Amino acid sequence: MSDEYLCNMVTVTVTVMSETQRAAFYVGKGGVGKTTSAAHIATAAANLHDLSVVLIDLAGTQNDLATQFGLADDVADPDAPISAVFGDDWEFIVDNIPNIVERMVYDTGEGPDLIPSDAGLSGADNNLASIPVEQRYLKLDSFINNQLADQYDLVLLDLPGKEDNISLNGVFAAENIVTPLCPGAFERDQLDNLRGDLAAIREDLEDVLAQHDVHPHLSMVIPTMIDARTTQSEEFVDDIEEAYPEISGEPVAQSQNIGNLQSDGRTLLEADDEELYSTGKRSRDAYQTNTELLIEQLTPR
Amino acid sequence: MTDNPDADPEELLQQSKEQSRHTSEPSETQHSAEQTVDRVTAIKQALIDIDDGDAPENINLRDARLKSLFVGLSETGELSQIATELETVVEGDTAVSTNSASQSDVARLLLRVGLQEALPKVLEDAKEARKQKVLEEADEY
Repeated sequence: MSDEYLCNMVTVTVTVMSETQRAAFYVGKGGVGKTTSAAHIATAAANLHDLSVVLIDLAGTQNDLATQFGLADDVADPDAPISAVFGDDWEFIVDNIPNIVERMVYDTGEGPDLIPSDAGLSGADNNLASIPVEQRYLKLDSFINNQLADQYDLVLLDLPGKEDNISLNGVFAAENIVTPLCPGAFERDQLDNLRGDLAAIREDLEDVLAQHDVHPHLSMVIPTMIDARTTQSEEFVDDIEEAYPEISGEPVAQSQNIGNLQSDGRTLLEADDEELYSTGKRSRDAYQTNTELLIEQLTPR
Repeated sequence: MTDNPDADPEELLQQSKEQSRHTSEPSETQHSAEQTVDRVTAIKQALIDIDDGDAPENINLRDARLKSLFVGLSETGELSQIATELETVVEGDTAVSTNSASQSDVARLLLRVGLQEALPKVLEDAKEARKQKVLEEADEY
């Protein structure tokens, strides 16, 4: 082969972007077990399915996920805040701080990594409103694609309990929405509203979604805080299973163990059998089953 | 993204934590991205269109409460007195006759006071637009 021919050859570099599974825990309401479910499913996925998992806490400045893993003090002033991802200067920061993701991530000690929330998220939400809609909801997706996909098999997002620009970033980035709901007078309405909201988002942002091949949808509904002794719980589970038969998860029993272990900075999966009441064991088993169901539902992106 | 080549990435990163809902304002970059037409140019073009008779020079407002207020001031004969008070606050020539001020005159003065107080930069751009238009017209001769 002549040198001239070699010089004219075109070198093609194929970049294979690692695929990662994603899900967002989201419903327009607090206190339904969103953070607890995210923590337990992340831990089960890491330990029982050997997946490399990262949890991103966007749910507010309380940093409940960090508390769940006993990291509240460590993340009180995070070294590298997740809120920077939503700002104008993010590309400049990434280009100039090579270990930025390493500085964002905390080891939970139970398997998954954690990127905690920070105080700048509410301001970031406000600033996102000034960005053209074509770009406004894609900041987090871009961060996961460019910074996390190579390192993690599964990215789980704990989103704010309200529709704002941060939660919509999570919906766009994850596509798969997991909604925990507990028995209560308005909870079922909340779920129907969410499904309606997702349909409205798909309709209103049709062009943006099509352009980026994004299809947000409800992937799983998890009945939480179920007390098998009450008729209300029983009816609630029946109602969810009837309304959403294909995506209903295993009901998670209400258990004092969950709250007690949270105060101790651990999940149910970290506890020994002797520490758990029967409700605690049932909750743990339900989260393990739900983790399997969810992983089956997710398509790597 | 920052245009400053000397910007400190670590400082920018840490500033993210300081953002808050009640103090955050859109950055210039974001503002520019959304504002595809330069404001001065847009105002200048509107001035030219109005001069050429291609655009109306009136502003229509629909606001029942404000309308009732103006009618009330008109009924009590206070419009001229209010116009006089407003003119002492407004900077520049207003071309309003304060001896026989109309509801429209008072509304115009109030708008100018509002712009002057709340949006001085917008008012500056309007002045700049008028200046550019006059200079371009002078060049044509």
